Amino acid sequence: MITRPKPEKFRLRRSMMFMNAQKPGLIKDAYIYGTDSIILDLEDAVAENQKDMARFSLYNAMKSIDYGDTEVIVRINGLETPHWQEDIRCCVAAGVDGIRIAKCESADDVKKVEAAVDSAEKEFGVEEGRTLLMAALESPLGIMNAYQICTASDRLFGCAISAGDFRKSMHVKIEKGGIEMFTARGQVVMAARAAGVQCFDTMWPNIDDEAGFEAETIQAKKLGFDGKSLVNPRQIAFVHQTFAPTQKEIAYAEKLVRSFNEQADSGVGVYTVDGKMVDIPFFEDARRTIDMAKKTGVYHGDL
Amino acid sequence: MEIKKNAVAGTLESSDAQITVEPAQGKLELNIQSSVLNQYGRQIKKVILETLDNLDVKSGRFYVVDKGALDCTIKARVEGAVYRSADAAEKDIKWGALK
Amino acid sequence: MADYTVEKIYTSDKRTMKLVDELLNNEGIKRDKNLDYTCGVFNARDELVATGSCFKNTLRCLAVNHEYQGEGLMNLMISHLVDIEQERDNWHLFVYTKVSAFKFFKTLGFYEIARVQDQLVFLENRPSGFTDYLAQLDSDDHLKLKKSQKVASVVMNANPFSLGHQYLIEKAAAENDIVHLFMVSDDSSLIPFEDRKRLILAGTRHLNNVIYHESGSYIISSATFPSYFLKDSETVIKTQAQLDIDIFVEIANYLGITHRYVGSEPFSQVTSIYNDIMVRELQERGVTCMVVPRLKVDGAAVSASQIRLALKEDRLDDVQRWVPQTTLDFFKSAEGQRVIARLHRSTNVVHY
Repeated sequence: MITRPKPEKFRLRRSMMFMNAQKPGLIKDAYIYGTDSIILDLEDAVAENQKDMARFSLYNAMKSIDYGDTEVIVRINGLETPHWQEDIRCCVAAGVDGIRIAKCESADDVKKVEAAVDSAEKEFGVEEGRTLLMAALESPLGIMNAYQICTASDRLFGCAISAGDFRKSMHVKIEKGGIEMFTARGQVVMAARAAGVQCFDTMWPNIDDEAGFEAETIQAKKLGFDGKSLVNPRQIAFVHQTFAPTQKEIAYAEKLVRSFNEQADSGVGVYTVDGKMVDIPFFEDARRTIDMAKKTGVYHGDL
Repeated sequence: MEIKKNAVAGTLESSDAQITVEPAQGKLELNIQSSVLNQYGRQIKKVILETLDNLDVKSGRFYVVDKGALDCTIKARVEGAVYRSADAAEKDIKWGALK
Repeated sequence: MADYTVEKIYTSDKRTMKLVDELLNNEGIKRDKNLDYTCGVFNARDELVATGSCFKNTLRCLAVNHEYQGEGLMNLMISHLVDIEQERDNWHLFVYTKVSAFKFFKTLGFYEIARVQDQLVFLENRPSGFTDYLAQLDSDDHLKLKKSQKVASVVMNANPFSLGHQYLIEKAAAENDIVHLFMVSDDSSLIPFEDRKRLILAGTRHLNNVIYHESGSYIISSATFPSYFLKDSETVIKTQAQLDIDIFVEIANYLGITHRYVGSEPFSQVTSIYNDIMVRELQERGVTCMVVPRLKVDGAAVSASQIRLALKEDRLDDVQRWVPQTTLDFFKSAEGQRVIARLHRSTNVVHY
C-alpha cells in the first residue's frame, strides 16, 4: 500500500492536468505525462450518479498506484452540493497531497473546508496539517475576495483562476488576446503575490486552436502566474517550456546568488549588485529561478 | 455487509471492470468474463474474494466483466457495488477499513 | 485520450434525431419504431459519432461512425445504456444483433441465447439466464409424470382472450394429458399483460390439465421484435419465426412437449408466413405442429383485432358474440372500462 511523503507547500507547479477520477484508463498512469501536478476530478467530469463510485476509484488508485514526484491534487465538489464532505473524508484517508476547492467565493469557504480536513485528519490518523489546499476562483465575487481567500488558511498554497463560469457571470465570451479576463487575471496574481502564495491560470478550452493556447500561456507567464491548468497532455511541453526561466533570467539570477553568497560571507548588511542596492526578496526570487531552471532541465551551471 | 439489492459499479471501458451484484440466499457466486481470463482469471478472482472477505460479504451473486482492469480498479468496483447494494455508498464510508 | 461525451437525445429534437438516422443508415440500420431512450456520443467538436437506444430491457440501434471505430466508443455507450437501464430497474438485459457483432458483445458480458444463421444473434447479460428460465418452468409437480404423458403447448398473446383462444386450448386439453400454456408477457399490447393473464386464467378455469407460464423476455410479440438491421419485411418475419422456434424447441425439449397447437391464420399475411415456417421447422425438429382451423361465429372466424376494433367502437353486442362470459364481464367492469378508454385514444387497434 502506498503512503505518499508529506507534501511540500511550495514546489514547482507549472502544469496541473485535470483527469476524471472515475476513469481507470486515465488515472492508472497519470504520472507518465510528467506534469508537475495532476488534478483528479470528482466535480464536473463525474456524472451526478457516479460521485460515489468515483471516490472508491480515487481511494484505491491512491493506495496502490505510485505517482512518485507528481503532485496529486483532488478537485472536490462545490460546497453547495451534498458531496463535498465525503469527498474530503475520502481524500484525506487516501492521503492525497492537496484539495482544490471548486467555486471558492470567500475566506469562509476555505475555513469550512479546512475544518472538515482537520476533522478528517483526526478521524483517519493522518498527520495534522498534512493535507494542502488550493482555491479555484470562478466567480466575480471569488475574484473580488481573492486576497482574503489566499490568506484564510496556512494549508493554502495557491489559487487558480477558472474562466468558464467566470465568463458566463461576466456576460463575456472568450476573446483573442484575453481582454475579457484581463482585470480578473491581474487581480488574482496580485492577491496571490500579496498573500505570498502561488497562482495558476485557467485551462484553454479549445483543443484545436493551438495558436490560441500558446498565446494565452505566454500571456499568463508574462502576467506573473506560476503555472497553468491543462486538460490535454499535448499541451504539457509548451507550458513547461514557457514557464521555464530564459537563459538571460538564469544568468542574472546566478549573478544575484553569487553576489549574495559572497557578501553574506563577508558580513555586509547592505547588498549591492553592479553597484546598485538590492533587497532581500530579489535574492529569494533568484534562488527560485535557479531551482526552477534545474527542475526544468535548462540549468547548466554549477550553483 | 449484506447484499440487499441489485447494484452495478464500473463501466465496460478499457482498463475498467463492470461489476453487477444481486442478492443470493446464503451463497456466494462469482461469474467472470474477461478477455484475459486465461492469464489473469485466477488473480481477478483472488482480488474479488479478498475484497469481499474484507467487507465481510457472505452471500451474493456477482457478475464481473473485466476489460483489463488493474487490481485496484477491480477492488474499487467491488467495493462500490457492495456499498451501493447496501444503500451505503453516499457517505460515512469506513475509508480506513478498506485496506 | 480524446474527449467524448455521452448525452441523452430527445426524440423531439428533430435536428439531432436526423443525425441519428443518418448515422444509423450509414451503418446499414433503420431506426427501430420501438425505442424509449436514445443517446449519442459526441466528440470534442460536438459532432455525433455514435448512437444507441433502449426499448424496455433491450438495447437497440447501436452504431458507431466507422471513422471512429476502435476507440472504445461502443463500450462507453453501452456502459451508459446499462446505467440507464439500471435506473429503470432493468437488470436482465437483452440484445439482438448482427452475427458479425456477436464476438464483440461477448466481451461485454453478453451470452448467446439463440441465433438465426447469417441474420442475428439473441443475447442476454446473464450467463445462465435461459437455463434459469427453463428451470423455473418445471417447478410444478405435475411434471414429474411427464415422460409417460402426451404433452402439448400453446403460445398466446390473447389480446384479449376470445372464444377462439378458449376453443384452441380446450381442444389441446382434450387431446393431451398436459397443456403448457405460454402467455406472452411482453407488455406492448394495448391490453396490459396483467389483464390479459387474468382473462386467460378465468376463461380456462374449467380445464384441469393446463399449466401456465409467462414467456418472459424469451418469447416476444412481433410488435416489439427488433428488425432494424434486417433488410426487408419478409426477412424480418422469417427471422423472428426461426428465432422463436429455436427457443421454443429448447423449451419443448426441456418440458417434453411433443405437440404445439396454433390457430389457422385467415387474416394476416404476416402470421400466415410465420405459421408456414413454424409448421415446417417444428416438424423437422420433432415437434408436431397442429394447425387448428379458427373457430367461426355466424360464419366468420373470430379475430382478436376485430374484438379490439369493436371495443374501440363501443359495439359490445359484437364483442359479446366473440368472447367468453368471463372476458365480457371484465370489459363491463371499471377496470375493463379503463382499457376501453385506452383503445378509444389509440389510432391503430388492429395491428397490435
